[in-house]
Amino acid sequence: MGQAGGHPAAVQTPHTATGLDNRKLGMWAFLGSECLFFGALISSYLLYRGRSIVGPYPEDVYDIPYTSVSSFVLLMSSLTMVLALNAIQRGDHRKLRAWLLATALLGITFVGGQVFEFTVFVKEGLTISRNLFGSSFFVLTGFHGAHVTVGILMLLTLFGQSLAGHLPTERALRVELIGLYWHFVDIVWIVIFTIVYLIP
Amino acid sequence: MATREQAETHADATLPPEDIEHPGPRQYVVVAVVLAVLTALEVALFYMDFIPQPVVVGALMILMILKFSIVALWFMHLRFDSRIYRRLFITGIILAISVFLIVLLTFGVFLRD
Repeated sequence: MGQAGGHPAAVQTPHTATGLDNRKLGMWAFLGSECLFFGALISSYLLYRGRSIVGPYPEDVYDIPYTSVSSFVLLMSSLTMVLALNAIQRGDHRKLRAWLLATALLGITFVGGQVFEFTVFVKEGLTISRNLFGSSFFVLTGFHGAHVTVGILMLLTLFGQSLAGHLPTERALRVELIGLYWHFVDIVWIVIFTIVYLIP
Repeated sequence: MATREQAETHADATLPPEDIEHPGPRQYVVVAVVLAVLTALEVALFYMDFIPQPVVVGALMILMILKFSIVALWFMHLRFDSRIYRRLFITGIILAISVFLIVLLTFGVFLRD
């Protein structure tokens, strides 16, 4: 087994019917179900779009340059996440911790930006109960933000485990599973950014 | 090291092709640069008022699907891992798109504008 691409030093085929690790299979099944969860929220947003009878309306509150920077931050956190996985698979635990911390910090920056954005919207009169746009927007982006927050907590847990020496190379799957969750949260934002913010 | 073709054959026999070589850090950085460029393109399209709106919407949707696929295939390793993972995820996506497209069409969301 080559190491050029940074694949695990010793991949063992799990003793399961599929030959795949059940935890990873479970994570993919969970992510498949999450598509339906976010699909419901995005559909609700689309259903209510343009049906608010009082303002503020999207064009009154959206700050595209600001949200673009937030999107870029989250996108780059996917890079640091995959580099963290690559580091543990190569047995480089110092780099693993550095990339995990970088991912968590980028995630915190994104969530912080979202909290700031929400605060500005509320100051401009858009609350969750103000109109249909407010209700669907805050529920959709709020649930996404909650997912990012859970991801940050898991990343910091991994960081702590690595510091305590409880995350050896043989347990790289833990990083991979949390990485899958993190990338999923990123691709959901890719959809939200386009459908909610960019498409008029 | 197993080749991709060998691994695909394994997948058909339900054996996991998980020993396909994953990309290295340099390739991941290249993928991230591509994603950043696509994002910049999306934002630029938003400000191009001279382009007809249906064209902008179409282009934005294509860019979104492209970014989505790149992250799933490269960063989530669907391009390299067992086909079973891919099938599970794609089933979720297809189910979500079909169910909610039916809902949106029923309520005439696309006819409203």
